[in-house]
Amino acid sequence: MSVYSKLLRYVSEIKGELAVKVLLSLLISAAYIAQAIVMANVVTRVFGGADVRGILPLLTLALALITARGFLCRGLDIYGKVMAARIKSKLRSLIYDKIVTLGPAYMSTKRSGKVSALVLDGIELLEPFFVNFIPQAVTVIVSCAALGIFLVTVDVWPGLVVIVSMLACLGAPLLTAPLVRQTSGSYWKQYSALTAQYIDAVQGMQTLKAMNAADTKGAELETNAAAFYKQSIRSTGISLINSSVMLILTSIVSGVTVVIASFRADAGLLPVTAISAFLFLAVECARPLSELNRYWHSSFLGLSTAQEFFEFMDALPMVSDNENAKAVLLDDLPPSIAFRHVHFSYPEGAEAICGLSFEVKPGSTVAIAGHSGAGKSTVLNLILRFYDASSGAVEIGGVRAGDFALPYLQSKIAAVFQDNYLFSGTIAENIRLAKPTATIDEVTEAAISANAHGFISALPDGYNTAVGERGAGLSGGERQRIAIARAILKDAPILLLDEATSSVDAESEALIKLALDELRKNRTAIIVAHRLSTIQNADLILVMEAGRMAEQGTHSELMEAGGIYSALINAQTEGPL
Amino acid sequence: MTRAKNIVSLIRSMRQYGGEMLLTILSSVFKNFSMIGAAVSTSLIVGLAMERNLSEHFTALLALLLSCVALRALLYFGEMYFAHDVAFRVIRDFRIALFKKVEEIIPAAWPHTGNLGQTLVSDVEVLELFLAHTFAAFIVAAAVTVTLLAVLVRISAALAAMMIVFALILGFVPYIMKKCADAQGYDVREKLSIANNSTIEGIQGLRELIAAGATERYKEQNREHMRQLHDAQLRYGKRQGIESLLTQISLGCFTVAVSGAAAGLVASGSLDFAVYPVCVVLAAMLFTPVMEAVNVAQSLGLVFAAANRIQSVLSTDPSVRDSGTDESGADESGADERAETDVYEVEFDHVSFRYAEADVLREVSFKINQGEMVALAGHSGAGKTSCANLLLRYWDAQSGAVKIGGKDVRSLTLHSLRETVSAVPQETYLFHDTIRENIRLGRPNASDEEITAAAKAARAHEFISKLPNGYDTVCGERGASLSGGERQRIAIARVLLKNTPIVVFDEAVSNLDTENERYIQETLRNQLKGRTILIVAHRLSTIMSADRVVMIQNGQASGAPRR
Repeated sequence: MSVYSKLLRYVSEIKGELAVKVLLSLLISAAYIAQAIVMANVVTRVFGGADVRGILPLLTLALALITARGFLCRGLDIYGKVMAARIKSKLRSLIYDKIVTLGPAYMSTKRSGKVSALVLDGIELLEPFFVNFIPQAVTVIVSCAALGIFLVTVDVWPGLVVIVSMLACLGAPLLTAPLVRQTSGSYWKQYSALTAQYIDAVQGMQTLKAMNAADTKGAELETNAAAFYKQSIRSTGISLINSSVMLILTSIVSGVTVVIASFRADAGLLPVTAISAFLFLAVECARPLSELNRYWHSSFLGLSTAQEFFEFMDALPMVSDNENAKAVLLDDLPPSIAFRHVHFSYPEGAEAICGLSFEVKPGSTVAIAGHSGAGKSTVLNLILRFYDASSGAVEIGGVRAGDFALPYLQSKIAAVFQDNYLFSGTIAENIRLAKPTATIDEVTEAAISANAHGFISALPDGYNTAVGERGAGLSGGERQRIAIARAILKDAPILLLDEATSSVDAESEALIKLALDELRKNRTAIIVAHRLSTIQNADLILVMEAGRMAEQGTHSELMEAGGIYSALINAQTEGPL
Repeated sequence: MTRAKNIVSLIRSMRQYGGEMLLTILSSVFKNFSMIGAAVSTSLIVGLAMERNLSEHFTALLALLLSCVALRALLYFGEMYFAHDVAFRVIRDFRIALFKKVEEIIPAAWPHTGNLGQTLVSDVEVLELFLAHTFAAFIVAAAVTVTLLAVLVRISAALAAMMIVFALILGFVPYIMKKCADAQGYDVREKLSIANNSTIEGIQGLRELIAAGATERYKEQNREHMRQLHDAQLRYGKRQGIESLLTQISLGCFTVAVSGAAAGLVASGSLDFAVYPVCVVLAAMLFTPVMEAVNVAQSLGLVFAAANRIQSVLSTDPSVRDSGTDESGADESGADERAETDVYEVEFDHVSFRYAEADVLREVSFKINQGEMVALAGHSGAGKTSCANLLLRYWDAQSGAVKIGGKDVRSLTLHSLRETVSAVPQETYLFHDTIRENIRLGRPNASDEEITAAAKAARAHEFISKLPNGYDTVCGERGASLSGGERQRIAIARVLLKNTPIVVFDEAVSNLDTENERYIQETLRNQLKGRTILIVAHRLSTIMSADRVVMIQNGQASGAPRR
């Protein structure tokens, strides 16, 4: 499907708003036309020898029409804003729904700057197309058809010229459309690539300095900025050719037709009074056309984002509910979790999980240990269904994870990630994330259980302290304890926890351990563990190596076996080499 | 910064493209005249035809009309093309200038990098509006209106007087609304940025929202932000509506008044009827350039806000100045010859450093001999990383001196300093490029073999080869699927390849499992033998592996025996 027809599909989402805007525009056109007719009559009367008093009623009528039009324009201005806001919020909701559907798996393959550029700038750029271009196109068709037909009844030939040039004007953009699509598409691609590159370079500036590479990077950016300039002026040139052609056509409508009519009147083929009708009304045909031309120029960039918008909207989620997903429900008891010969690779990555099998008994706690990159966090991603296994099965309560409805499954899991995102808002709001109805007592209680109460109370505004983006000001350990409090409030039967690797002092380590002991009670828990204290507490320890199960057993069994696990533990307790 | 200053600096940025700006303005002025020419010839033809007097002037008038139509299209193309060309060039210049500035001011004078990227790209893009559309529009409006007045005075003084009155009214409407418009514009932008932030949070915190089952609630909150934006825009629209109401009505009054007055002139015989349609048509057209200027003026608030942000970046003083001379002998010819000719010992000589009103280092003195590995130890926030930053000249000390081989680091050029000292920062930043290019960063002419050798030495080769595209795998901005330990090993490979005589290693507090950590210490020892190494240490095991330990406590240094 072409970009245009796809865009039209979204136009049908805003039929109501569109109708109101078109109606207002048509009323304004009508006021203009009425004024033109009045003025044509003024000229005719003056021609007939009338003095000022003779045309006063007509001039008063014209003034009334102008005033009415002023109010209509005011209405249109206001409604334009309303419509823009509605459309943008609709499109953004559509995109955000899609983001949720695509899930963290898809998002991790995209540069985060790119998606937000699409949601923010991209939608902003689409606005003129929906709010101005489309309604104006409809208005042009209706008012020009009416005027054209009327002018044909006044005099056939100039009337026909008006109609033909108007049609050409509407058709002109279609001729260059393929060219425009091509250049504008690459325009937007280059724009977003340049944006991402600049943000990349600014964020990595300290690294560039440490490697004495800032000059090289600067030169690279300079080249790209220069290339982008060339691309910009090229696509502008192409859109201007379009606009210039339209300009000539509108001039033909407003000028040449009048000349034809005058010539015929001069030759006696037309009553002289009819030409003033042409003089004023042909301009009214041209006016909406040149406005359309202006809107075309401003929607030009939007069309280039449209392609990316559709690509995004058409992307297939990596994880979706199976067609045969049953409304399977778990009972309230903690379920078992099992991996059966699971294989998995990240998109464009090496195989991260190769034939992994293990079983976690209901209500027990399993710790996963292993070197960094062994696939530990991937296990959690597969249970959460941020990704689906390429082969083998992940089973929860004896049911394949894919057989659950996705939101239902995720509602049964409380997850604490290695790096936890805190939303802007207060700490209390952040803890309440999973249970917005929680009272402040429940929040405090959860924070106490998570051993977060101490540092939260020490903050200037306690639970009402606002956290900045990415939880600036709080350490990784503190953020993790807030996430644990969140998980406690969520009260789900499955707990997944990716232990923060950051070094914490002995005291906080003990506090986190206590918090975990509280949290894993009556839950089936899988913990990616880095600290001896956490590992030792588990009912079973799985040791992973390169996506496979290397060893499993209890702490003492594994220490005795003298394999990877004992090497890891020894390295932690011993000194340097 | 005031509007006037802002405008001056923007205009100054266009100065070097003065020729093209002149072309823009000239084509725009003549475009307006050709538009008027077309209207005059059309209405004159009508007037003459009504008097049955057309035939003798017809050919001339038709030729005038057609050439005006063609010229108008041509001049329109020229005006827009030149205007955009200047705009895009200036935007390119701003981008380049801003990046150079950013290099100077990060991190010392501008610690928050988040907004900077935005400024570099979006704010600069907003300037297009001013550069391509606004600036010329004002000059053109003034030029065309004055010219028309001069012509009109000769035809009828009364009509000219009317035109002046209405021109003043039209210009006055946006002026009286300006304060209101600015406040509302600010409100809209504020609400917009809230809505934008909420959207970005939804993307970045998606995992957490899903895990908390809060996506629906988040969407509702997002809709609420949109509603507020909607309301703010509605208020903006209402004000804009009043503006357009007033201008429409005054413009209409002018047209009607001119039609009436001219009709009086025709009736009294002082004006030829053939000119009457010309007067009526022209009355509606005279203010076109003024209206255009008024229209673009509506969005000036947005432009100035962006220009302000850009100026505030450009006018930030770099706290570290590149004022040294290049006599250290460090050039791009390679690390090997440097190491033989110079002494690379590092000395902190009574260094004091304040940051944001707080004393970080007070009279810190210590020395690292050539080839020695010294660990800086102490509580977090004690000033260890500051020492490293001073050596790298991310900041400059307020008193005392950091010396390399007895020379103050400030006496070296930044370029030669950075060829002498390289660093592994705490957080590894990987650029959106292949792993190969990420390792090559510090030595653009390194061969693939050298890169592989560096990766092997940093124990990164193994995991890199396992990736489906090996060294050609593209890293995301957050280093998508690489673990923290893997990323750090890439950073170490970078430094090994760069091979400077002095290396700063800011130990990662996170990300490395214990076994990896031992490998890395081993690597540093073996691969960087003979280099002078400063480690900002967070782990006991690292501290114990150093040749010597310097304790930083309460901003002061004290030597400590090894172990």
